[in-house]
Amino acid sequence: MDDLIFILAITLKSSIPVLLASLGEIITERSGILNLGVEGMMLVGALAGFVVGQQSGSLLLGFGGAMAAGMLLALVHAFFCIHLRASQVISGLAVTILATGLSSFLGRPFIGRVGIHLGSLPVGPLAEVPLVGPVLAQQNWLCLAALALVPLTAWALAGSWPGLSIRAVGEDPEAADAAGVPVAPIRYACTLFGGLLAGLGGAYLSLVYTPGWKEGMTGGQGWIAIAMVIFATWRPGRALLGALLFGGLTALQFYFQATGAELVPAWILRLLPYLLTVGILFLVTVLKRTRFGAAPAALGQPFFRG
Amino acid sequence: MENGPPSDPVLRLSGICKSFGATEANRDIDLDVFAGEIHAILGENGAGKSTLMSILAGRYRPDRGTIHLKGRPVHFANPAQALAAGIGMVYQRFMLVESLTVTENILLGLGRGRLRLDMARAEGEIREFAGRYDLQIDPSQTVSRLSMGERQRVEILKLLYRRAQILIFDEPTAVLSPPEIETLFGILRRLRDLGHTILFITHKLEEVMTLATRISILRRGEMVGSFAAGQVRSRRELARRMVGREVLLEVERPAVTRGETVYAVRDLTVQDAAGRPLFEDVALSVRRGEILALTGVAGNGQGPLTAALAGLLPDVSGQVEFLGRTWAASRWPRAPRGGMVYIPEDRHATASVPELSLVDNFLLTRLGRYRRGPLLALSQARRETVRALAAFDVRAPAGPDTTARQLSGGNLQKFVLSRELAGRPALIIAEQPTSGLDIGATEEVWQTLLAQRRHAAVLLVSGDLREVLSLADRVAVMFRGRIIETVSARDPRQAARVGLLMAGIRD
Amino acid sequence: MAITIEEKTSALHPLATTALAVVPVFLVGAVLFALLGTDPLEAYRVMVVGAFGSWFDFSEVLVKAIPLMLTGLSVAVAARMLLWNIGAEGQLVFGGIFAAGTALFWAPHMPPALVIPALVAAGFAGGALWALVPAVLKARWNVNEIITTLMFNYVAIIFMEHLYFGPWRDPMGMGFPGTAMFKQVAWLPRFFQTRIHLGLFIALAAAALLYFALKYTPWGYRVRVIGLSDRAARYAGFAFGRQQVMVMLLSGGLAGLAGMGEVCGIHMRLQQGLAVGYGYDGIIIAFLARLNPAAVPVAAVLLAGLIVGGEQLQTATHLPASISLVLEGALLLAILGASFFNRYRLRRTRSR
Repeated sequence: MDDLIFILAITLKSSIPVLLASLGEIITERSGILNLGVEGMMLVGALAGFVVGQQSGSLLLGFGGAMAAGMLLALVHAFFCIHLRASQVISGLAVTILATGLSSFLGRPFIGRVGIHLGSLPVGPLAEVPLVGPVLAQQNWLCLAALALVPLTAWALAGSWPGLSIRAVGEDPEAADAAGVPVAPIRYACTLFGGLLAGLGGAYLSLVYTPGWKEGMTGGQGWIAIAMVIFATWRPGRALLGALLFGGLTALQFYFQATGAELVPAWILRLLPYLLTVGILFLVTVLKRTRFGAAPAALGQPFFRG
Repeated sequence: MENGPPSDPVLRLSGICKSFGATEANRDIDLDVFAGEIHAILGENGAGKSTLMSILAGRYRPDRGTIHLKGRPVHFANPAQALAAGIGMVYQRFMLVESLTVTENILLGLGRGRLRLDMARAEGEIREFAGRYDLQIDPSQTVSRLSMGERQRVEILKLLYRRAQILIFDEPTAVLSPPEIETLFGILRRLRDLGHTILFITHKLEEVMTLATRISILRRGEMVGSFAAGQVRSRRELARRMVGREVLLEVERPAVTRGETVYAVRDLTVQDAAGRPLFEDVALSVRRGEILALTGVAGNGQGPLTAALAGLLPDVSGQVEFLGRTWAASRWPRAPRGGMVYIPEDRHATASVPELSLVDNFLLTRLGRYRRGPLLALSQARRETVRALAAFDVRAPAGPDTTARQLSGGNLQKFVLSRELAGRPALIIAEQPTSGLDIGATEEVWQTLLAQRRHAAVLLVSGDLREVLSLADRVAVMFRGRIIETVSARDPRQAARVGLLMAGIRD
Repeated sequence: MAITIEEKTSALHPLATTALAVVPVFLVGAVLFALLGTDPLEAYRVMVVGAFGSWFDFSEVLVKAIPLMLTGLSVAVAARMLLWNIGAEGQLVFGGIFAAGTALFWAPHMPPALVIPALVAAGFAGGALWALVPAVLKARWNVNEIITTLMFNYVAIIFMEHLYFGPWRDPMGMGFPGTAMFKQVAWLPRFFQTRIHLGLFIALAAAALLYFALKYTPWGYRVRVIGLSDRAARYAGFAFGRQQVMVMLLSGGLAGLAGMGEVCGIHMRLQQGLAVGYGYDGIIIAFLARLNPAAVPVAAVLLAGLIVGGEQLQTATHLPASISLVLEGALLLAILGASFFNRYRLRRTRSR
C-alpha cells in the first residue's frame, strides 16, 4: 500500500511539467504554429522562476516571472513564424539553442543557491481518505491548477468562440481569413499562451519539483511534451494520459532507487521515457491514418494574403 | 427591367488598376453594376476577371482607381470590410474549413467578444435561416463530407447570414454536374428575385447566354465592353469579343486507322484508409490510333483512377495489360513502363520543378537516358532540351537555362509535352491537359494530342465536356467511382448523353 | 498608411546576407556583456584574439571545426531532402562508441595498416546505424523524424554513460568516467605539431565529394528533386523511401565520423565530454552554409572560432563560455530574419 502511494504520488508530481508544456503546445499547434522552442522556454522559465522567486521572496512573482520569460521567447518565435514567414522548425530550434545558452550564461551565478519553494497542499481531513488522501497530501496547488487546465482547454477548443477561431486558423487560415477571423493575432495569442505554460512548467521544476537551479535541468522534457502532443492527437484529455505515463516511468525509477530492488537496471529505466516516446509516436502515426484525429492541416505553414 | 439602363448603378468601379510584380492584371477598368441584375464577367483565363472581383470583395487593394457603392466612395482593406458593406464573394476554391461543420463555418468570425458557443442552439438557428432561402443543407454535417454543390450552398448561406446584398461568384459551375448547375441557376435567380445583385465570373458562353441579364467582357486586363444580354445575337459574336479574333469552335480530326490494343485494365478497385472505395471494378482499354476520354464531375474517382492507371497508386487490385504483357495491378507501380508517359494535371509542381532549369526539368522523367558512367550527361541533355524547345515552340526567355517557374502556363505545358513525347511513346495518359490555358495554347495542345494518334494510344482524362467531345473517339463516364457507361463520341446521339451520364442519369 | 510585403526581384549575394546577419548578433552579445558589467568591446577583443590571434589558437579553432564540419554536412545533406536530422548528436556519440569499441577490443589483434580504415568504417557505421531506426520509421510510416532523432540523442548519451561507467570503465582509472586509453596504433595521425588530426582531411574530402555528387550524379539529381518537390519526385518514379533511408544513413554516418574523430583523434578514449552539442551546432552550420556542402567548412570554422573564443573568454574573465551558445542561437535567428529581408521588401502603401 505504501509503495503504491509512493509511486502514485510521484507519478502525479512528475507529470506536471510535461502536462503544462503539452497543453500549451496543443493550443499553439491547433492554431497552426509548430513550436519547437518548448524545451528552451521551459529552461528559461525554470531559471526566471528561481531567480525572481529568490530575489523577491514571492512565489507568485516567481511563477509570474517564469511565465513572462516563456512568453517573451514565444514572442520571438511567433514574430519569426508569423511576420517573417520563417521556417517554423528552424525558428523553434534557434529559440531552444538561444534559450539554452541564455539560461546557462545568466544562471551560472545561481547554481547551488537555495531559493524558495512551493509547499505541499494542506489537505486537512481529506488525508484520512485511503490512497487519495496521502497521494494528494504530496501535491500542491499548481498541480491542481494544471489538472484543472485539462478540461478547461478542452472546453475552450470545442465549446467557445475563440476555440472555433483557433481551430479554423490552424486548419485553413485562408478560409478563416476570408470569414473575417484575424489570423495573425490569433496565432500570436496561441503561441504566447504556449510559451506561458512552458515557462510555468519550467518554474514547476525549479520551484516545486527539485527546488533550485541546475543547468539543463529540464532534461528534454520540453521535447517529450512536443511528442506527447502527437500522442494526444492534439486533444487535451489525452495529453494528461501521456503526461501521467511519463510521470509513471519517472516514479518507477525513484521507486527502484529507493527500495534498492534492481528489477531493471537504472540506466534502462532512464532510457525508457525517451524510447517510449518514440514507440508511442510510432503507434500513433501508424494508427491515426485509420481512426484517430489528424494534425491541424495548416500546421507549420506560414499564412499571408496574396 | 432589361429595357433601358436603370438610372443609378449600385456599384461603380472607375479606373481600377492592379499589377502583380511586372504583370498588369487590371488596366484602367470601368464597370457599372445595377441593382437586381445577374451580371456576367466574361473573359479568357488570365483576362483579369478574378483579380477585378477580388478587388471588389476586398481581397486585393487596387493600385489606382475608385469604387463607389450606392454613390459613396468605399475602400476595403480586407474581405471583412467588404462584407460589412454588403459585398461577398464565393471563390472558386471554396473558403470553407473542411474539418468544421456547416454551422461552424457559417458562424466563423462572428463571435467577436463572446465566449460561450452553444452549438445545438446555433445549429437550430442556421437550419431555420437556410429554410428561409429554401437552401437544402444539414447544419451539423462536417463540410468534408459534402458534395461540391452542397459546399457551394454553404458558401452562399455564409454570405447571406452576413447580410450580403451583392454576391460575387468565381466560375461557380466549374465543379458542378449538369443537374447541380441547374439547381445553382435556380438559386441565383431566386436570390435575384429576393433583391440581391449577382456577379459571376465565367469563360463559358452557354452560361452567359442562359443566366446573365447583363454582360461585361474583359480581355487581357482591359474592359472590352458592357451590355445588356438582350443585345447579344450569338455565341459566336460573344466568343469573338472575348478572344479578340475569330475562333474555331470545331477541331479538325484527320482520320487515323485503329491499331492493336495497347493498354487495358480489368477489375481495378482501390479503397481509401477508411475502407471506402475510391473506384470500383473499372475496366477500359485503348487502341493505337484512338483517343479514349475518361470524364466525370470532379471528385467521382477520376483522380485516383488516373494515378492508378499511371502506376502511381499502391495497393490496387485487378489486372493491367500493357503492350501484350499482363500484370497484377498491385505490381503495376513497380513494373517497367517504358513506352508509357503520363502528363499530370498539375504541371507546376508535379510535372516540373519550379526552381530548376529547363535542362534539369528535362531530366526529370528521362534520367536514365542521360548517363555517362556514374555521372550525368549534362551537355547531351542540354542539346536535346534546346531541340525540344524549338520543336514545340516553347517561348523560354533564357532558353534552356530558364527556370520552369518563369514559363507561362501554356509554354510550360508545351515543354512538358515536348519532354514526354520525345521518346515516341505507345501510350499517353493526359490529365486535364488544357486546364488553365488560353484558347491559343489549348488548340496547340489539342493538335499535338490528335497527331500522336498516328503511333500511340491516348487516354485523355478531362472534365471539360467540350474538350472531351472535340477530341475523343470514345468516352468513358465515371460516376461515384464506377465507369457507368462508355459511349462513342463520334455518334451525335450518344455524345449528347454524356452530360446526363456525368450526373449519374442513364435512362 | 499601411505596410505591405512584396517579393523582391533581385537578391543580395548569400554571403552578404550572412554578413549583415552578424550585426544584430553582436548587439545581443554586447547587451549581455554589459548586463554582467563587462565592457563588450573588450570581451569581443578577447574572443577574437583568443580564436584567431596566433597560429596555435587558430589550429585549435580548426580542431574544433573538424566535428562541426562533419555534423554540418550531416544536417545539410538530410535537409537537402527535407529531412530534419536533429539527431547528429546521438549519431556522433554512436560513431564514437563504435570507434572506441574497435580501438579497444579489435585494434590490438589487427594488422596495424588496417586499424585506421577500420576505425573510420566503424565510426561511419555506428552513426549510420543510429540513424537507421528513425530513417525507416520516416520512410515507411512517415513518423516525425524531428522527434525520433532527438529522443535517440538522449538514448545514445545514456547508453554511452552506461558503457564508460559500467562494462567499459577503465579498471585502472580510479573512478575516472571513461574507458582505458587506446593503444597508440588506434590514434589518428596528427599534423603540423598541433592537435589537427586526420579528421580534418576526411571532413574536407567529404564536403568536396558531397558537393560534386549533388551536382553531377544521378543520385544527387534525385536528392535535389526530392528536396524541392516531393510530388515531382513521385511523378518521376524516384524510389522515395529508399532514397530517404539512404540519405539518413549517409547523414548519420557523417555525424558518426565526427564522433570517431573526437574519440580517436582528441580524447584517445571514450569519456565524458564527447556529447557537448556539436550535433546541434551542425544545424546552425548547415543553415549558415545554406545547405551547400562546399560552404559548410567555412561556416564550421566560423562557428568553431565563436566557440573557442567563448572558451578563451571564460579562462580570461570567468564569464561563462555558454555565451557562444547564446550567440549561435541569435545567429540562426538573424539568418532567418536576413533571408526574409532578402526575399521580400517592405513597402509603405497609402490607403486613403
